[in-house]
Amino acid sequence: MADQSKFQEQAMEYVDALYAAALRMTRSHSDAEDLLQETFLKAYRGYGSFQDGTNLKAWLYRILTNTYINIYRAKKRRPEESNLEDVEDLYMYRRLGGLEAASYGRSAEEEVLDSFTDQDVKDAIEALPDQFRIAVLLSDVEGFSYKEISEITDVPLGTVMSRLHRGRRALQKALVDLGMRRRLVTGSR
Amino acid sequence: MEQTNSSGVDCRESIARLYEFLDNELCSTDQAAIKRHIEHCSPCLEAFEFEAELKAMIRSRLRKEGIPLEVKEKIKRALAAE
Repeated sequence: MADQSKFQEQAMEYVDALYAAALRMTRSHSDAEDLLQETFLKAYRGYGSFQDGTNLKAWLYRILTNTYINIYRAKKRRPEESNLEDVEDLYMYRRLGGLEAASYGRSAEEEVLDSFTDQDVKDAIEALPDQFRIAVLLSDVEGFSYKEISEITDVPLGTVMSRLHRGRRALQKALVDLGMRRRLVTGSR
Repeated sequence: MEQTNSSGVDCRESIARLYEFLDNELCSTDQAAIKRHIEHCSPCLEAFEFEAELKAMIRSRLRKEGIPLEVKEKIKRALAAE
């Protein structure tokens, strides 16, 4: 059993990361603020049932994710995973492969990657449907293992892998499309 | 791009397991087998390196946002009022 008086000091360590995740989930500062406050209140009230010595970070993300899904999916009735386009493996790599000759010293691929701003990547990830966005955030940004993501989101390991891999490929496609609009990417190899 | 070498893993399998490799989710035997393959197969090695860079780029672009101080204080006050 965890001691509630320790909650603030221990949980506040993750407040920045949780806020960033809440922003990417809700896509709005005021909703992120509400979601985070709700998450901390729920976590505080439930802290007695948290097992000391287990993964506090994952436990907080689980509450954040569940709270988000309960509040916002109910509110907006967002379409679910069926409507994500299937994108092939190495989508971006294959479309950048032809650029090699254009560079001196640094590879042209790296130049294209460097050209994407924080806002570009935020917009691209925020355009993904919930399940894919959450899987990519938990893995690529937070560094959770597949098993931890499975526990946080309450789905089997195979579903986590499928959402993560499909989400990443869709993200690549969104970035390639952006690169093409900016004429940094010319199309296929 | 269909090379199989002594590791027993071909290009198709390496690419299929690329994300698991980069995410450190493979058992040590599989991780080592794919590592041996990409060390001897430059098209796969390039693809793996690109995907690793892309993953690092995405992580770095999404990392930076800290919580505004007033939001943090508001949460602390809400907890204190519990």
